[in-house]
Amino acid sequence: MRKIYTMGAVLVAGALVLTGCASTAPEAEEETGPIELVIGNNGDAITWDPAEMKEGAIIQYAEAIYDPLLRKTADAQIEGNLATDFVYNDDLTELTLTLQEGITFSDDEPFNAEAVKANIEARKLGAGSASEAAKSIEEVVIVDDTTVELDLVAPNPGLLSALATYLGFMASPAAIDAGTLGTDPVGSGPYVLNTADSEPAVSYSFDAREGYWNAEAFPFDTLVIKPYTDFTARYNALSTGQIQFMYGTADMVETAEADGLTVQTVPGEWQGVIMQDRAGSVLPALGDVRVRQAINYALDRETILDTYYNGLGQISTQTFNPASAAWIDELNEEYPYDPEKAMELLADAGYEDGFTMPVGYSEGFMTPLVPIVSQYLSEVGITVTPVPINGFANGGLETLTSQPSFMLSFSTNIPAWTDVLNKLTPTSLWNHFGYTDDTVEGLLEEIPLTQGDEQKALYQELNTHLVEEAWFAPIVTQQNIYLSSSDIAVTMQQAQLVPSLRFFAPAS
Amino acid sequence: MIAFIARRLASGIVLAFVVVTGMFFFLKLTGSDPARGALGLYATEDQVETRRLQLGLDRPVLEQYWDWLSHALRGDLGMSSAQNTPVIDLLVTRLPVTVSLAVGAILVAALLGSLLGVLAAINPGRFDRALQVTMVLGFALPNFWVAIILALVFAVKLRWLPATGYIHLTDDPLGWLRTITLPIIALSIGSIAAIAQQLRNSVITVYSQDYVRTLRSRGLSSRSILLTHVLRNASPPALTMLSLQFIAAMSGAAIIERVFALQGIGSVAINASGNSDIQVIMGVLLFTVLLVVLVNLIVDVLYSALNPKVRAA
Repeated sequence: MRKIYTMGAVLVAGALVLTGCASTAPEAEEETGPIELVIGNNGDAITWDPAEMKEGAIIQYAEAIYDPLLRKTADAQIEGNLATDFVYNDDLTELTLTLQEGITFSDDEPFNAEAVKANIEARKLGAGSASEAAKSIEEVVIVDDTTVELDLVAPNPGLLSALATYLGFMASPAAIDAGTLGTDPVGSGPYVLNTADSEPAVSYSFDAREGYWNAEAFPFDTLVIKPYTDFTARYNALSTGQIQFMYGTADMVETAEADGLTVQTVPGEWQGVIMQDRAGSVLPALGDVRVRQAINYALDRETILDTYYNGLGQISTQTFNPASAAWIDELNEEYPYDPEKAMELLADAGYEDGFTMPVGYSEGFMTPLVPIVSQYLSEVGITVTPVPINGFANGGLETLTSQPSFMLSFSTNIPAWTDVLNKLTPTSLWNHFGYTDDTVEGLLEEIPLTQGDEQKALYQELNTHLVEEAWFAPIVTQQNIYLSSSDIAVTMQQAQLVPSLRFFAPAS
Repeated sequence: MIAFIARRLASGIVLAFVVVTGMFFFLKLTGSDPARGALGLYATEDQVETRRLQLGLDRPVLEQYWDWLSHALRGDLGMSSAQNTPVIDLLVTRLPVTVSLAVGAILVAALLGSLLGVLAAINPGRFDRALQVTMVLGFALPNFWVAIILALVFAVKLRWLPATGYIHLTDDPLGWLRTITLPIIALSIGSIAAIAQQLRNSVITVYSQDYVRTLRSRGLSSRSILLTHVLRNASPPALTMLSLQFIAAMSGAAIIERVFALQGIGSVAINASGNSDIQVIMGVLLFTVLLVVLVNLIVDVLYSALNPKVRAA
């Protein structure tokens, strides 16, 4: 018996040592100590080369190292950054950038017109998000040390936005020449990577650069970004003080508020159905606009928003960002829930007995939504045949885009031109059947030649046409959800998956 | 004994060869495209084609296989097509995490499973029934669910242990123990139940045999009969179960790693599958098969130590 007691005492002592020696709660910050920001990120920086980086949450890794030529404000307007001034010529085929003087990269190479030229030319060769926009630049002309002229192949309404992200991220020309950017990043940004304190795929540590030109906008002495692929793990890390910020999900909101975390939202992705066989080549029914409209009338968006999305978002018939030039509030009233009207339209189109519609979807976050949509469509006589894919690799993308219709979560962007390129041109990835019509074709030729209000009117005309012709059946524009600890303040940013680093500050 | 080990080692190497060869051709048959996986959805066909050439994917499959195998035999598992990192570096960095979990879980399972199994066998009646119910429950609970609950209770609510992350053993032994405690508990619950159940049944079966009655009639103590005779004969099936549980722990670690944000082999395998990163998938497979072969070899050696007749088989 004594042995049992001894063993029990040893176990208890061990457990106490194990659990009591260190607390996982954040230690109180000494007023004079360095200020640290720890972010949990959805993605991992598998490369540091901006020519290879893909859009998404990983922009925060890039922003730590690289300054962009231009930058986006919280409401997604473009303003100067490394380039203080940017001016188009009259026909929008030349963009002249005036560069800041006295900026250096972390390897002491100077930032100048030569550096801009080297970066843009490198971006053209990469396979990252910047590649497409880089190819719209025919030539980078060095006017003088602080002035460059970008000669465009054709007007590109997405160029300024691209220069505020991956196309505009400036890396040291010496590092570009050496071909070492993928593993050894050298930029002119607010931080430098501390390789000694970093472990790939686990945690990346950055130290503030001394003498950085815009240090006020980046008040943290050290920045740590930790990749977390699992939402639950990320939330646990946030609620126990291991990180201070994360991109969350709707089901976390209630718990996060109860845990004393700050919950913020921004309109984000739209979810719904892309009916891409609009010519009816595979599924003739979808070639009839009345059928596509019937699908829109068959969906009870209000109920789905309340029950499935917990009210976190807004019903939508549109595929553009609510803060973009293309958005029109009234268009969301175009297709109220009206199953009788849907059945009338189907009958008019000759489908009074319904039809069967294959719907591709990516398993995971779309899995619960597919049966909901299927049920609403079955009520008007349309039988959905779900075609699941497990990720885009191993032929998944080809399977998905070969279906006459599919469901996904789609980003919405500012400028709206990004959405045009993603979904509306005959060569867009998400318009695999290459469908277009005269109205869309004409508007897509006109929009790049305009600016300001004139361009806004054309975008809205395009959006109205898409909704009336029912190219898509969106359900909601959902809210992106961001959770942060009370010791930091984060300004939300429109049309970007995660806020830029300069929108983070210590709580006052 | 040396000849026995050599035979088992040779059969293990043949097994590893067959498995990796089969997997290589299977991956090729699925149409996986490492070039597209590395470059992403928005890369042009020209860029993808260029990368295919760089990766040597235009060569005949047999030539690719021989290239991979001949390099693997020299310890070179190639480069990750998605991360542009030597596969061997990736695995060497991540393996300690998964091995810590799998080996830790198996040690805990062997210890507690044996203890519970023997206790259930020698205490028939209520105690045995209660343990049986507990074992069935432990076996039925999915380990990822157990992991989520453990993290919620002991990390988020009580703050006793860290919710996520891994500290290397060499950096801070106590920190290492703290980071792997909850994952190991989650991973071992099912194995404890399986081993306990197996050992309980074996011990009861052995106890019912004539020679045990003879030993009792000779006046040997119950303790001596259990430790010297019964356990020796009841252990082989439990050892087999232990090796099976190690394989289960290696695969289960992939899920547990996600819950606790541990960057082990499991997360490497999942990411590699998503990117069609065939070199990494093959590297993970090779390492895993070799580990399983090693564990089976250890079990065989123990088995033969308990029962020398096995060596002749």
